[in-house]
Amino acid sequence: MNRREFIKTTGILTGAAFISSCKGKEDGQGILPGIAGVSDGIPGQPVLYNTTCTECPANCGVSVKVINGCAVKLEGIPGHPINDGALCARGQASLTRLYQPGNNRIEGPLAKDAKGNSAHVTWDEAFGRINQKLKEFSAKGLKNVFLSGRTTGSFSEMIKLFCEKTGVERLPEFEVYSHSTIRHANKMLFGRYEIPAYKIEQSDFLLTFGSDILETFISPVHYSQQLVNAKKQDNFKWCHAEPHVSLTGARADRRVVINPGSEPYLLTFLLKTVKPKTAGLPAEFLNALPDLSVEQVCGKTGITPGALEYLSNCFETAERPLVITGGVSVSQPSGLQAAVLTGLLQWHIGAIDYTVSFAEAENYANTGTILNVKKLSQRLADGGIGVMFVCGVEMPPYALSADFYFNISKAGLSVGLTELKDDFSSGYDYNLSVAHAFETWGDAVPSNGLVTVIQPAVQRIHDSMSEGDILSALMRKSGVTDVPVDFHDFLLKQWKEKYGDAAVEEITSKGYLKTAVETVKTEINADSVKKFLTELKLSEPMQKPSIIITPSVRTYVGRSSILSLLSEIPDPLTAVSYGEWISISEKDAKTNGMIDGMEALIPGIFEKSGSEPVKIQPGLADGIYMIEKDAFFRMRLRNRIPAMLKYDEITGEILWNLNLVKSKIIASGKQMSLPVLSGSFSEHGRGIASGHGPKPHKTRDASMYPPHEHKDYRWAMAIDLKLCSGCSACVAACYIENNIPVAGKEEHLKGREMSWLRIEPFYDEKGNVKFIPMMCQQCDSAPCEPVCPVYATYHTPEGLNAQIYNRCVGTRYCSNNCPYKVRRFNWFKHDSEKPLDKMRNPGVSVRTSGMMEKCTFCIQRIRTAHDVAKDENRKIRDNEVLPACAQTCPMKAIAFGNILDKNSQVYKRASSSRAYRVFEELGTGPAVYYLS
Amino acid sequence: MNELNYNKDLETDILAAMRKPGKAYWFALGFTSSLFLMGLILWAYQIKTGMGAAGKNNPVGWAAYITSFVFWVGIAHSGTLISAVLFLFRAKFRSSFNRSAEAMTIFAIMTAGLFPLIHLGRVWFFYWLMPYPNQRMLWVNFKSPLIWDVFAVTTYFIVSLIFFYVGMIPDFAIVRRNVSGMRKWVYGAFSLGWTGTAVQWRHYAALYMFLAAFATPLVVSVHSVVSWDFAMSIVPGWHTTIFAPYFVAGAIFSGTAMVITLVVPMRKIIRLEKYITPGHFESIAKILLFTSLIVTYSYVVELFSAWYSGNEIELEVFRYRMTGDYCVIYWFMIFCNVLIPLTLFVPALRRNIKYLFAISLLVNAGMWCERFIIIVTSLARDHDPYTWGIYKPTIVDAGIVIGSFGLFFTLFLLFVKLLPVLSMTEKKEAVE
Repeated sequence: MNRREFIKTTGILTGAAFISSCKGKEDGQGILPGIAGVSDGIPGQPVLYNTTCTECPANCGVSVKVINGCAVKLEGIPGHPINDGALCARGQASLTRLYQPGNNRIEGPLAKDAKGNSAHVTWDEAFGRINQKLKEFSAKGLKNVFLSGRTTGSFSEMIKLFCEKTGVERLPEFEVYSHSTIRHANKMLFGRYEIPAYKIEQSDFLLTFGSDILETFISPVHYSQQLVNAKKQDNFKWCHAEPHVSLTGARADRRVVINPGSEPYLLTFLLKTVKPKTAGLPAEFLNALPDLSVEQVCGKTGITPGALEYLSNCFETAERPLVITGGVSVSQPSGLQAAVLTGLLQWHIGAIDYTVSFAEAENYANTGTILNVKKLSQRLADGGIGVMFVCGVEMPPYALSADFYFNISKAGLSVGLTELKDDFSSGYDYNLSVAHAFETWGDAVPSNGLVTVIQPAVQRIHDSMSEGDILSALMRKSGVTDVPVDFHDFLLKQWKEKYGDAAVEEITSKGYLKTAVETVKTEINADSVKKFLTELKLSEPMQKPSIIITPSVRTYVGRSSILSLLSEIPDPLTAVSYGEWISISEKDAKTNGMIDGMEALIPGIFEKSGSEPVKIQPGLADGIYMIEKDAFFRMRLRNRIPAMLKYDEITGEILWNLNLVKSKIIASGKQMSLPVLSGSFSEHGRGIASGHGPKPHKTRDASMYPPHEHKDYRWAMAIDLKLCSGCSACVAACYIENNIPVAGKEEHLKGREMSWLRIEPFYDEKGNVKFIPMMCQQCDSAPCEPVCPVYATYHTPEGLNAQIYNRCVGTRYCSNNCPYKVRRFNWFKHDSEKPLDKMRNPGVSVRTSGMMEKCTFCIQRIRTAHDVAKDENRKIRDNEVLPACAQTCPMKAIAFGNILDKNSQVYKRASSSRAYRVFEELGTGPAVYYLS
Repeated sequence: MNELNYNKDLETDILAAMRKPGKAYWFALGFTSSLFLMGLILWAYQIKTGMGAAGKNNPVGWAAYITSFVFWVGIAHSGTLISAVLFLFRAKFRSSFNRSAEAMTIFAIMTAGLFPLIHLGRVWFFYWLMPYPNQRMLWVNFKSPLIWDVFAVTTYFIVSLIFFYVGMIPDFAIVRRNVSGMRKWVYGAFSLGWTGTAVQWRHYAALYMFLAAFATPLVVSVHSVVSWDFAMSIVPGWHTTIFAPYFVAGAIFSGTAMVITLVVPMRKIIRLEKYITPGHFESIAKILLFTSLIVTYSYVVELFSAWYSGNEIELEVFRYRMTGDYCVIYWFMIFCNVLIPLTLFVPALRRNIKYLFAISLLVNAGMWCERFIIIVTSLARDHDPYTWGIYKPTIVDAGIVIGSFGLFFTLFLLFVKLLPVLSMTEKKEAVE
């Protein structure tokens, strides 16, 4: 054998040895985590699963982007009847619910021992014990009960089946926002205990009373989208009447401030004066209403005659008006009157069955009210309850139902079906760990005519089961055999039964299914209207000062407050990120000598020192104190004062508006730490959000450097500020897409937030607010670029100001020189707590301590689009690539694209007469256009 | 007193200062070096935890460190001014101060040079700021004023060091003559075989003259370049053409004050009253007064141009300086740099060494505050009102700044004992 042959032979032998040893693991486990039932996961490639967002009852369609077995991003399903691709801030942040650190999520079934300590048990032990107790208590004559949060669709059927088979009593479900006043009024007027679908896009004049349609009211993303469509009509007008300040009011064409509780006066006046285009209400009804003069109405409601005239004119000119009353306007003693009068007005102006549709009514069929919980609490106290199942109920304790909270222990056995630990879970004897919606099968029927799927996108992280599986397992373990083996089986049966075999494929791939709805011809119940009108005595407005406990765009009713990302994103109205605060008017602050962050005491409510800081809220009426619901609960919990909220005994509505009789806010003089991220609410004439800044100099084009040449693409953004509602969905999307760390309260107090995109509120002297989303402006002559000593700031051929993280040495000069201050420095290394690190987007580098980072226009998405376009040998099409912020915007305010393309949406918007650029006079040449 | 005696006394007195130190000296050295050590420990802590250990935040990305950098670079200025410029102007009184001033320059640049490193987010990559050939063809960005800084400060350091050293060569030879053993060998090596021949003196004088002429433009250029770190940006309050002369004047002002701060105790402790007289102090006080007037003028012009520009954003920064969160510091700065030096119009006060010492301390503090005001208030009130915010120093910022004083004084104390503190040859020359 000569040398050459030796080498050849060795090469062949070595190669053969290598090849033969390459084979999969015997046990079939790959390196990547597998996904139940899915075999098409290509490593590094995103797989999308269409499912349903369960963060609030709106049930938007959401597509989960899974890469390498981990869910990294949520996006609305394009074309979905509820949200059409958009998602709100809570929806975006709800991904962190799935990956909550272990100490927040329940990692397996827990049982309390005799000493009251929780310990892990096996599912079999838990089921055996619960079944045994069910039998034991039934034999004793005690009632076993099942209480859940709002359920719809197949899970609701499952509960029904479970209750039938095991003899458990099913209680009316509890949802904090039960909208029971609206439902009650509709029952009274039209015989329907329902919330109708409001067809805003079909109206040309919208009048809303207190209903925060852009924040939490029923289906905010859906209403946002409808508003965008409605605004496409030139003559569309929207007036919002509210006693406080909300994002909804800020976005309305006209915001009218009315005294809390005075809505019935205005509604009565409108009923009497509006001339309907259709038949309208019979004259006898209208005549039965009290006569009110303009002075009387203005006196009671506090609105100006001018505003009243505006409203009358709008009704006069509108062809298809729509009135919606809800939110804070119904959660007060006069709420039912307001709701009934609204129903009458809706009928009068011909909105019923047109813009107010009962055919597609929202699904609140199983939902009860707080009164049902009160009853249960009494039964618990009387000792009549055996096993009590509590499933998906969130009732912030104390403020709502302190007695219920304390009576849980009086049940024979309390079983919680719990996903995340909350104030209640520690009280249950058993906590059965419930899987997240993205780990399980299910469905939802948010409204008539629509069913949406819930399907697993990722493998379960913990030892958990879906609620449906728990119930079916409980049934089977107790010896019932004629039930489906698991919830998936049950679900398929249900779908096939209700929608036919063919629908199953559609529902799982599309994520939703539209079903036929019956046409509804609504009749007005003349007798009950007459009865109502004869008994009608308009209730007096609430006395000031009043506390208005408001819904929160960030935390809903409090359930989303566990998601720390939502505390990191500041409240758009006040720019406060972490903690609780009481909003007061500028005048109240002045008379009490208060400034932002000063401690406030309200005798009778927050008396203890060390309680709550105030925040001055421009535009807020004097004598109105605003507290977010979630903040209110936490304040109460901290002060350990039992419930003081009252309930409407008829409707079961929680009365969120509190009258402070003979009590007012007092300054304690102590300064507290309140992270207000805004340095100033005024734009100081700089035209940032209004576009009325100084004009650029004409000679600005003179430059030492040659202009940048852009061959094919110059990426640009155009944001319509008339659409932007400040909802901060874009901010949440940006955080998750770009792996932006959550810095925390202490860092916020030092002014070190990490957001690449922020919503800046600017108020004018009248208290009207304008929001402007501020991100890197990708300037053409970027001030950040020449100052970097190491070329970490670099201008790409497509016009982006790229930041090369691994070249950055951290001089922070770029940030100093950025007039928009959109660059973020990593003051520390931010490690995300496990398993939150699973949701890191592998397409975006994770930054370390000491380097600068900023908005990239989601360059990773642009790169992906380039790859696709190159494969297909074409240029990137308009709207083919959208940054996370533009993609999720419920108001579709952000347009993104190639400004060199004259047909692109961004070019058209940027060449609008409303377009301006922030600090254009500096000559930075931003690529972000705003439309004032 | 004849010349010979004077020269002999001079040598004896200066060399006496270089003898074995006493308790007070060791105590002082221990104190300053522990301050320095504390600064080092805090710096290590900052590197470990991240830049967040210091008090900076989003609008205020530069604060105490860059303030101290500019402050120390400023201090470094008088060395060259007193040495080179006064040498060229044949100002005789300079021989009392030039050695200390030059030493001060060297130590101040060394101290200043640390701060750009301290303030880097990733200091372990500091060498990326230097242009060096590498196979990836990565170069520094020559458009960046920070790179100009690197060049300006290193050039100034090298030239000042050479100037300092060349000026000491004849003195090293004197020291060599008067010591024995190991020290004799070391000083001998440093004296480069100086024998004091006429040829050597001729070459020496030519070189010294050349270096003085070479260093003089640097006095203007270095601090101009440092000022461009600010003036080249578009930050309101920074972006102004007056910055270069303004900073140079401020630098000479603060440097002169620092010379007084150093020389007054040195003169007392090592008994140099005979050689550094109130007359000398009066001359240097005049420089202090003169530069104070330039600085005052700059303050006024800065305000005037902000007002004259009609730029609301620029004006807001100046309103903020005078009435905002840092207004106490601003008015303290005005007191120290504008009002107090005016008292030097009184001749008696110019000759009052205690008074001068007190003023020099105030001016040092005032000039540190000036840089702080320029840097911090401008960033705190930038273009976008949403981002306005304030900077509060933490123990780390404060400790490192104090540590830098520790380093500076430690080096100066070592200088006092290791090198001749007055230029003996020049002193002799200056007698006639």
